[in-house]
Amino acid sequence: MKKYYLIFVFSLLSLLFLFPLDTYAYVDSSWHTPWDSSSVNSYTSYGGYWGSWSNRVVGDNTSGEAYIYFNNIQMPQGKNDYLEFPIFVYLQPLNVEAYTDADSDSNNTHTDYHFFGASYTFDGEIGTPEGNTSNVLCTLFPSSDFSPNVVSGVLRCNLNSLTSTFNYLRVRFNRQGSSTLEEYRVFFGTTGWVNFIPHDADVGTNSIVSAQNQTTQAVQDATNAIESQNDILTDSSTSEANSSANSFFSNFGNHTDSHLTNIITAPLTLFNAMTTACTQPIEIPLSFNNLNADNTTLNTGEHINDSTVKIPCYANFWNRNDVQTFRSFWNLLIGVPCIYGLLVLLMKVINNAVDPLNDEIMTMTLDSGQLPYSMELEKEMYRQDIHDDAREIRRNRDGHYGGMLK
Amino acid sequence: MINKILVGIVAFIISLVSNILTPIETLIYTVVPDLGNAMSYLDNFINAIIGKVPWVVSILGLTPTTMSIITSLLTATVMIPLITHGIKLALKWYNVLKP
Repeated sequence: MKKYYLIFVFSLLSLLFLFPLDTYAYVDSSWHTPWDSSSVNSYTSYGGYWGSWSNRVVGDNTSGEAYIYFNNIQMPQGKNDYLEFPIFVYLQPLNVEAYTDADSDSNNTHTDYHFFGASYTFDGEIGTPEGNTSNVLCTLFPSSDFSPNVVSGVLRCNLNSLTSTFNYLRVRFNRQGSSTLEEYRVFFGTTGWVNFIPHDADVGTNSIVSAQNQTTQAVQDATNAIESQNDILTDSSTSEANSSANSFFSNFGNHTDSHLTNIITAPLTLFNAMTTACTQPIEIPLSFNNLNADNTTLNTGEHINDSTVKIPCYANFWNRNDVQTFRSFWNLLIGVPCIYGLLVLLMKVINNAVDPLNDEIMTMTLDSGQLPYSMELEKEMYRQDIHDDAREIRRNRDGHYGGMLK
Repeated sequence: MINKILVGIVAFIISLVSNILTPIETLIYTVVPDLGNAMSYLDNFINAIIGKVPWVVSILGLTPTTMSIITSLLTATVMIPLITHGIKLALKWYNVLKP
């Protein structure tokens, strides 16, 4: 009972330290909706934390506004120069007819509506519990383009070494330069986690490197897809046509997959993966099928494409200078039990390997009828010794004839 | 250093197993293609799980030294029975085949 109680407490502590509250603040899911509260409330039922629609943005204007309100942000102690969180931006053309024409016209590409077709920036406003407000400058580090008018990435806001806490953040959307899109509005979404970056951290590399890695991966995926198509063409059309048809051995040699090998060597691959540095974030797909099918929340012709939320690797967090002390303690807390358990398991494995009564040893029949040493004979002698000892103990306890005759 | 040795051993074993299993796998794909498809699904599932391992390890925050020790112990735990069984099997074959 005591052992299970300790395991429970240990698990509880693990969960507590796995998501340190001083870095990843939780965000209230309630959103202020300056324009259309009914539609925003309906969006929240589709998961994530969704911002509001912007007001109508006219092309001649140099800026538009859309807001995300984070409520009840618990700011960690000390100076935090930056705050970052994933963001999902949807740029909606309000002129549906023009959008449809552009979509169907090959000469008028999506570039006109591309989110980065014009230059866009973000800034924001933070408010303190005392009612004070400060302006902050935010920069978007895009990670991927899902469609011509949908962009996801990490938005990083400069807090200018703000030391006091704040209870909301409002992000504002600005456009710089002209765009052929005359009327549109902006829709923000996020996933609810906020990362505070202290002033002494290596700022400026985290999200950019992540975005670069994802871009590189996207290019690699495209290259693989092209090579895969080339392989398909080569194998199925050319090679098969020139080989002996319907032969039992016709497919031998053409097969390049090695699924069976991968399955059998999965434990080894797992060991290898444990020492591999994390470069790919976890991707959580977001589906908007229900939202698109709901005509009451979207205007006619509106469509939100499916997207993916990426949760980055935690190496940047664990490599921070102010986390090293905690990391040492954390390594003791997690690493010592793991290593102790593995050592116990290893000792059991070694004992099983050298145990003369182990079943694996019994499979080693030396066929040694003519040998001076026999494992079977040794084993039988061992059993006889145990039997003799037991008989002696029983005799001393129960008398010469044992307890059965009493 | 330990990590490189482990990676080398893993790569060697995987290539060895691949060479041994390639004819069997090709036979399976030729004779029982449905089983081959099932293997591919299972392989994809395993790859999806293993692909998340570096991310999980990054969350755990264990240092490379700690991870090397854990990996070494895991490797020893798996390899010792395999090596012991292999030696016993070799001895058994030797006794059977010796003149």
